[in-house]
Amino acid sequence: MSPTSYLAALPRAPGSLYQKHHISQSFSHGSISNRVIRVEGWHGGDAYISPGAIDALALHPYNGTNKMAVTLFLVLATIIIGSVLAMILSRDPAISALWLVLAFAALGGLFGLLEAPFIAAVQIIIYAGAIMVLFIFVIMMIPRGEAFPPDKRKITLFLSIFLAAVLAAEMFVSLWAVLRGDRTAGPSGLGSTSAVGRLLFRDYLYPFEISSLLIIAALVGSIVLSKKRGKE
Amino acid sequence: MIPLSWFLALSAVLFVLGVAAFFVKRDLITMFLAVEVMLNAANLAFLTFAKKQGYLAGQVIVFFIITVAAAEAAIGLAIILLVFRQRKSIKAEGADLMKG
Amino acid sequence: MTETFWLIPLIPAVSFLILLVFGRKLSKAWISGQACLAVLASFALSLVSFLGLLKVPHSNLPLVKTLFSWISAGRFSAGLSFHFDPLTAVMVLVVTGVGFLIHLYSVGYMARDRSYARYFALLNLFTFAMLLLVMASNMVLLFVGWEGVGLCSYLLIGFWFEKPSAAAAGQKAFIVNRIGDAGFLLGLLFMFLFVGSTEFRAIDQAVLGGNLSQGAATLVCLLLFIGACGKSAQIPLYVWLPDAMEGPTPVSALIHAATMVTAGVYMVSRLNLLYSLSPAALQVVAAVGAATAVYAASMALVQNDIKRILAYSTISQLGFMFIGCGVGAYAAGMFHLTTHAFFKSLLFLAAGSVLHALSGEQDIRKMGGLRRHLPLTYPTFLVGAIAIAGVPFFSGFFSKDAILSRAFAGGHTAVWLAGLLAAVMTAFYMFRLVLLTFHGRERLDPETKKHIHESPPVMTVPLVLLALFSVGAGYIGLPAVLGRDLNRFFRFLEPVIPPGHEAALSPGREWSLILASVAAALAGIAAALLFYGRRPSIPGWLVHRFPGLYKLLLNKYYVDEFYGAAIVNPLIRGSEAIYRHFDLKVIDGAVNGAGRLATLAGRALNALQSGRLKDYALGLLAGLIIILGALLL
Repeated sequence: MSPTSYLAALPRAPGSLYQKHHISQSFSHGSISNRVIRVEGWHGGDAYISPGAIDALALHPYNGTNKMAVTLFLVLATIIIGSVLAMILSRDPAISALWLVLAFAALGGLFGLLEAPFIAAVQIIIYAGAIMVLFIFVIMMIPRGEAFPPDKRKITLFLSIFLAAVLAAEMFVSLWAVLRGDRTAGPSGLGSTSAVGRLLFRDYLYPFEISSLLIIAALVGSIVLSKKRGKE
Repeated sequence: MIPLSWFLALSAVLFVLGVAAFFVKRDLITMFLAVEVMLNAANLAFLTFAKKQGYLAGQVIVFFIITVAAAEAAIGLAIILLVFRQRKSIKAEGADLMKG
Repeated sequence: MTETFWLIPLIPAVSFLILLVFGRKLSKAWISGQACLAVLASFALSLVSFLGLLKVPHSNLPLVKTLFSWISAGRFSAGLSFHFDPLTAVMVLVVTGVGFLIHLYSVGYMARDRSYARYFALLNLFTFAMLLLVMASNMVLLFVGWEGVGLCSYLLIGFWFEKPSAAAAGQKAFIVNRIGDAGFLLGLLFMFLFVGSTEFRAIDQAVLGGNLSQGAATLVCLLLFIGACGKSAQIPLYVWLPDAMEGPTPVSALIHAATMVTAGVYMVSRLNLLYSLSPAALQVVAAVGAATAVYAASMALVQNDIKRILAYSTISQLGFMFIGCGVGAYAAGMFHLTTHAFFKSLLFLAAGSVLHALSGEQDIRKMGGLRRHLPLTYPTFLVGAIAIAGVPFFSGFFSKDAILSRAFAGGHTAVWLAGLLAAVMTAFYMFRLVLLTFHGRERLDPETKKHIHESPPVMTVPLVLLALFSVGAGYIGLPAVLGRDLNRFFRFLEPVIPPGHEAALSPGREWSLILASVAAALAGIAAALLFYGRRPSIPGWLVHRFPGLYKLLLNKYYVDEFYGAAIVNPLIRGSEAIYRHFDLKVIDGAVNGAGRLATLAGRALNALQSGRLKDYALGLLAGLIIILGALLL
């Protein structure tokens, strides 16, 4: 069943996160006699969630603006625009690149708001993680005058450790929350990994394979181009 | 949830910022960074429309765009390196050998 | 045995092609052998066909052989078809016979020339074209031959093209001929319009069937006659023939005496039924012929170049032939064509022999007493001179008399008188030429005298043969007084040229006419003997007494200068003006302007390619904004 026709068949609630909230009959399954709510997702993906999880995951059918989402959006947008502006205004290419790393990370978060968790992960891993690092490598290879001596102030050290610890804690908590309980994997929604994966390996298999060829070409090309002259 | 038009507005602003950065900056690397900004603005727009229409192919294409951007960044930086080696500078002004 | 007559033109054509392609690699012996044999073969074939023709009953004539259908466009069609009838037989025998003798002569005359192969190739080509002309069964193919001989004439006059005067003479011949050909083409077109076909059989049928109005016939005949004036050097298109003497002497003999220039006479005789339909056209023909005869003879009286005298003589004799045609005596005209071919080519070849002996000296004032040094050339030349003068028992007498008596019989007294006057002048200038060249005091250049020698046999044998014909050819056309049916020539031509209906002359009348012709000839000879033999002071005295007249004659009535001023120069200056103002400014301006426009546009667009990244990006952005704007609006 093609996506569009599938969509067309479902009724739409204004602003709803999911197209349909199908509360089904309860299933008796041995000792587990919880009522299970079947949440239909996109592309035939379904999830069976306990009622409590719906609250926990804030899966309510939705009719207005969610304050949290809006706040999140505004914060992220500000970070993005601010970082880009800073990138423009900065005179040192290295500083510009670093500001851009921040911008891309925030953008990744924004992608999450757009129901594209997979793409969000890809953005952070590849864009912020690999491409920008590449940029910084190259920038470092080009002498731009005096290198800055490393910052030896105390406050810097303290802030770094504190922020690292907070980040670690956050990551631990979210991971533990996911692994605890018998909940199945995260929401399968519009942009879930399984959905995107299904698309990539089925309908768009050719472009996928070809893009791998593209990457190899870029790999070889950049090696050849940047070889030092002496080797001829 | 969030009016999708906000996302599009953001995407537009980002793109314009990228264009402005491209024209303002004088060295090749920063100009390249501006190009990346423009690409990301486009990605944002794609995802917005993907969500609006529920058409997942929009996300797939963003995947490919990121892939291509990575390849392009690799090659582009290699070229910039070569230009630097040749001209000992990464200023965009003097690089007009293709004139005429 | 007449089935193979269509091969007659093709043998020289094949020889030409061989000489054209391989000429430079062949030895002189091979070239001369091949060329002469080709023409000899054609002559043999012509003889065979002629003999066979005598046995063909008149109702089967003409014999036609179509090789293939050449043009077929709507109503107009013309095939590559040859025909053979008495008139054609006469022409073919003359062309191949005299042609062969001249080919033989050329072997000796051109022996030391650099472009031996080219010469014989062109001679063969000419022979082919001339045979094509006389054997064509329709006017279109005749015109092809007509043009072909014109081309060969140009190529052969300008044979020594490194000489500027020769090149100019060739050009003049071709261009003047072209003017005639314009008239010819118009005539051809009108002929097709009125008759519906250009086949000679169709034309004759149209005339006999009464489908052709007199006006139409007159128009066609006059237009075709313009072409004949060009080809046969009549007034006003004769000016090329004297200059054509720049070519080698055998060429002058073959082309400008015996064959090409007679094409006009042949054409008129071929179309005799058409011409007889239009008395007006015939009058024009006769008048032009008569005028030209006298006019050219007058110029020959005072020329000092041996070949020029003969050239003007040719023009004058051609005038005679047209007198014959114009008074309705086409057969007489053809008769004179035949005899003239013999004695004129003889005269030219003998003159060539003189030139050969004197290492190229052509001025008769620097000759004299040559009869002692040239024992074979002198008698043959004398025979030719006597023949052309119209002395009885030689061929010229019979043919000239035929023409003049027919003219008188037809009531064209003025024409007859003009012819008589021309005859007197002819005899005079020919004997002037003989006396100044071969008799009297030797006025030779010492250098020239040292190398004087008689010509080799390959040159003198043709002279002797031609001399024999110049004497004997007349006896095939004896005048009527001596017996009605003795004129074998006329009878032979009867299927093509019906006997005229003019009143027969009484024998007394005819004898007195013959006497008049003889008297004219003798008077001319006597005057010449007087002026250049007994009383050599007379010419000088005459020049002194009539200086203006002498200058007028010597300078050919200033006709060339007149043409130059009235026609050639205005055309040249007009062309130059057009070239300067139109060709250079407008056409070249447009073309160069297009080029300059492209360059300017290129330079303007060049500014767009600054090589700078930012500029290109700016262009992209501008384009994007414009497109978005267009989409939004």
